[in-house]
Amino acid sequence: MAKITKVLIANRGEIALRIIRTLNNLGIASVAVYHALDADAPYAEAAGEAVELVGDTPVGAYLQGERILDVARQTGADAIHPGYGFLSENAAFAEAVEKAGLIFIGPRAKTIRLMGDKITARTFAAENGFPLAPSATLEDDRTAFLKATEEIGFPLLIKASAGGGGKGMQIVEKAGELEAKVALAASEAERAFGSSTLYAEKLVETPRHIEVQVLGDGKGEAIHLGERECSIQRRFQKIIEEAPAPALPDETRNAIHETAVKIAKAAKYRGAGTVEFILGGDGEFYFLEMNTRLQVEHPVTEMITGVDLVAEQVSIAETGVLNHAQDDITFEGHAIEARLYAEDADNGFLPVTGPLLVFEEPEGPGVRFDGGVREGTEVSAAFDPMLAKLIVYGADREAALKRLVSALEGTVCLGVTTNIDFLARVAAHPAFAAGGYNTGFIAAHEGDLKPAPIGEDELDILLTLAALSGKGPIDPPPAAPEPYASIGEWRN
Amino acid sequence: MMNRIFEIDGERYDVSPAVDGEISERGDGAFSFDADNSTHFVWMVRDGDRVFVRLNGRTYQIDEIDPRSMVADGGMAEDTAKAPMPGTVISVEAAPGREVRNGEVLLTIESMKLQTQITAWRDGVVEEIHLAEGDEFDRGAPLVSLKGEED
Amino acid sequence: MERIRSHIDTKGKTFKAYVEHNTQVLSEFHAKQKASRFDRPQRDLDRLAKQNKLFVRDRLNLLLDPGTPFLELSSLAANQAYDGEVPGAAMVNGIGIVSGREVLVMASDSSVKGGALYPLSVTKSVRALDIAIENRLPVVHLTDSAGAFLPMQAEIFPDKYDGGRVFRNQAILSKMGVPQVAVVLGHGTAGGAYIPALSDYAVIVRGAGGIFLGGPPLVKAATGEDVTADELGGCDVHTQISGTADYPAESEADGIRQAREIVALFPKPEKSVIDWEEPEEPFYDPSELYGIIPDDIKKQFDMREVIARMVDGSRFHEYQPAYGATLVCGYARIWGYKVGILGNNGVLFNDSAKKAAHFMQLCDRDRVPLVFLQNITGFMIGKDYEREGITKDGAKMIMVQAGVDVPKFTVLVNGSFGAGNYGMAGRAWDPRFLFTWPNSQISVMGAEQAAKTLTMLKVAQLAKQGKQLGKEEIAAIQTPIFEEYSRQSSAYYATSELWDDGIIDPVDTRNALGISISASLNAPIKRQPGGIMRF
Repeated sequence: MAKITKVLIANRGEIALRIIRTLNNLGIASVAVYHALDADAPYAEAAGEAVELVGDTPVGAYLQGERILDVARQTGADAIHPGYGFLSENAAFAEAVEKAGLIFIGPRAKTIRLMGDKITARTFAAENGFPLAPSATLEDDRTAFLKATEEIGFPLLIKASAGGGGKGMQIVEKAGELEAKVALAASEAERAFGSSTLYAEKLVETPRHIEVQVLGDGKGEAIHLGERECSIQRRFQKIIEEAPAPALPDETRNAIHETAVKIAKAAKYRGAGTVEFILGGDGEFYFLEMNTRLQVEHPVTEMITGVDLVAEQVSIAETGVLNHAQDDITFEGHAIEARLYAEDADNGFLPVTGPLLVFEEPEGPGVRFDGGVREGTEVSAAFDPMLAKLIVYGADREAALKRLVSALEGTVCLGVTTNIDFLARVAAHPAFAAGGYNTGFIAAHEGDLKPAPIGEDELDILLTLAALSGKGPIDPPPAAPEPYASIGEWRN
Repeated sequence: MMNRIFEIDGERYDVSPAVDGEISERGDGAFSFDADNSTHFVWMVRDGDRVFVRLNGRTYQIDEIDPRSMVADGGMAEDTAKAPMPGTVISVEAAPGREVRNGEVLLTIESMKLQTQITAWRDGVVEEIHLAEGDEFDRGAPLVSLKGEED
Repeated sequence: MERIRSHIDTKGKTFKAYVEHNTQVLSEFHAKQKASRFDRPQRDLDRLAKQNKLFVRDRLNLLLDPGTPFLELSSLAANQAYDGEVPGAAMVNGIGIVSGREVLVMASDSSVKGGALYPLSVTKSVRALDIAIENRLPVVHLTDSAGAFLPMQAEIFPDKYDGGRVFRNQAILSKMGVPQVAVVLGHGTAGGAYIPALSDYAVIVRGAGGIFLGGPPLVKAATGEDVTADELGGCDVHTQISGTADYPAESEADGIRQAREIVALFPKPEKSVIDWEEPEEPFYDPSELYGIIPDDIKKQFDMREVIARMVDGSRFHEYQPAYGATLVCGYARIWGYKVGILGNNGVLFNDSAKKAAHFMQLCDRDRVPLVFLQNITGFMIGKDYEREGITKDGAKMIMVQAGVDVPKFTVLVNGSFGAGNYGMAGRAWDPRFLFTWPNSQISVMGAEQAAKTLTMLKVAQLAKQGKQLGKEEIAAIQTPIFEEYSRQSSAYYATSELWDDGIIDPVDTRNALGISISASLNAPIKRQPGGIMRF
């Protein structure tokens, strides 16, 4: 296989920067693409070269496969790393890249197609005897679908087959609601993904979301690099992840690892991927889906295994061979990642926009900060509101938790509302510390996770600081001269 | 002596303009704050009339409210705009009942070959437009009234 | 400078007796002052409320910077006049800080007779503006006056220092470049209309303020015209049409706020610089003054003990300590300012008069303000002293005192009788500020002495006519004279007539002087060159 000397990163923000960092370590040149809004972004500056993309929308700019391929050719890049999101799971793009004679740092288009469609993925899993939550698929025959879903039992979850990110999802508590909710989900899915194909599966009440990082050589060999717990979620999106998963019996852990490896092998998976499971309170686990790309939360795996996953991706793309055997992978310590979002956690987690006037990254032993923004960045509604990932490592979970709390305290973001304080409250919550929590955590502890009322002393300080911060509309009077200032409030 | 008004989490607070305490900048948004007999290390930045503070591991947003926007002196605020000089009404942009923003154009008048836009002097609701397009008026004639502000 | 070593036995009988006496004196003073400031007939307070007007002291609170002092002047003016119905002469004047600036505030007290101007009100106003002129203090007028009290117009209108002098002083201030701002909170009729007109800046409150040379009744009587106060001279007339006032205000609070902004933009003062160091609290507790001031005007005390409880660190550098013992003088600091203090420890003799003259020359040459602490019954009389030239030496003291260029500050600590008052910079000698203690007395001679003398004369006169008077008859003549003298020499009578700038609690003297000195430095200190004459 050809050696990779220059990689174009078809992505932006923190992941683009993180990929460039590894490329620099490997002595590989990097090419970044950016929309005008990202012209000053850290990743665009860090790359060896940067080329501007123009699109109908900022997000759209990064989805132009043809244009990006052009840039790769023009800059002489021999490989493209798609990061996560955007084109990373776009089979057509992967194909185009390979057709163009460049290396797509990721799985084959075939695998992307297989795992990208929820239904084909589930069918594949079912055929190979992997555990699945009972489900049914709606294609045309709505009546048959409705009947099949009744057999699943309630409550159940309706999902868009072509979708993700929580869109086109409906929870159905009882039979009476089914028809209406199916219709709703179908129309949402049609609008968001262009396909009204749905499937329904049993809703495992407040499951734990456990996923396994795998590496495959594309020829049927695969290894796992341990599991990650991703159950702290809001709006069906992960915000805190950790590795290894706490409060997990070894038997279950091992079974999950084994299943993941088997799935990767069966798919002849090439590169880095993640197999996602849901774990019920009864200890049963079911295959949920496989993500054929690097995940946002991959750093926690890197911290406890010492393996650079991006380097592995590049290596596998180059050589087609795994660098490690399963026995080579050792697990030490504990890592936790917290995602920093520009959102109002006290107000339905609604995304916000604004300038990052003050941005201080936490530092220290066992602290890794993957940020895609810097002080002065204007957080706009154009892109995903994730600003950065804070990852901490400790010799054990307790140590990691302590580090998380102090690193969050040391993270300062002023100018736009972020979820830093919320993350700190989660990190400090006894139920989090206990482990064994599930995806219902945030909802279950909603009350506890609300910010405490501001104390009187704090209030005094805040008001004084606000007054000292600058002149208001009516500027304050100058200080009284002496001796008046020293005499103070006196009357004769 | 007008107090300053700050709003935190939807609550408004009056603050005397003469404050006790000193801040000294330690660089790039970091300050040490001395008050009474304690020193605090805080992060703070002000953007217009909005102040962001990180104190004791918690982030706050404080807005300064213009005290003049809160003047409610028994309806002494002027509710009617009067013509500054004689002229003619060129066009009427607002209608009674319409909610208007501070600065929004209500009507346009012409005088001595110069056109002037009469704009809303505060957020409010139009009570009445006293003249119609084409009407002539003298100096001091009432042009448009906003509904009186409630306490 | 070295600290005074006190010789007061604070546990002794005398001290305790004096404390008891003075506690009584002070509580009487505070009660009188409180009543004068706050006791008002309910109907007057109701009227204010109906007119939507704030009480004058509430207006002051809105005007002055929070956390700053206010030195009120002549709070008990007119307390013995007009049957006591015009407390404070219907106005509150004082020195305070507005928007970080030292200003003189003159505020009508419309809770007293609608703020009407009585003869003593005019005296108080003229005095305040004289202070503004002498010390170059900007003035803030809070006007809300019903106008002159016409039944007494002969004492209000025509004379040199009557009503016209108020406006003349305003004009002179303007010529001198000292800014003035007026907030018209009520009707300013006739004379009152000139206050805002002669001020550099005028704010007028809509609906309440009015400026007109003749009010509606007078206009109706003179021309038959029917017009409301607002139509005649209200806010809109003067801020939109006539240009007599500059800023319309929606309310009193708004008007006062605007005045504060205006003051913030006054040109910055260029204050005279004198020797100043970081202030120090007096070492001895000022409240010990209550045990030092005797319970009888005839009893002596050491003025050094008073000084010790007034100056920074109780430190005093005494000048000529062994000469002229009845006059104590030396350097000290008050709120950091170096001052030259002169205090009486008995009658003035030749040597004490000459010592005073010499010391005052030193202070004048070196730009050291002078503080006079009066407790004086007069110059020594008698044959020997006349031969030595006591009158001549008194004249030296007076000549030097009158001629100094440095600011002078006088406090009537106890007695202030006869020519001693003159030598020690009494009212006629233009100290920038003159304060009195509630126990103080002022007259040409002591009441007892005066009563005795006058009675003696009467008795002698009647004896010539062949009448002989018995003890009781003599007493019947003497007692009324004594009482009348006592009444007219009391601190309350003096302050009522505005012979001073206010009675103050002895423990407040340090603050009052500190503020006074600071205020005085707004005016330049010109210095005539000349050497020191050792008389």
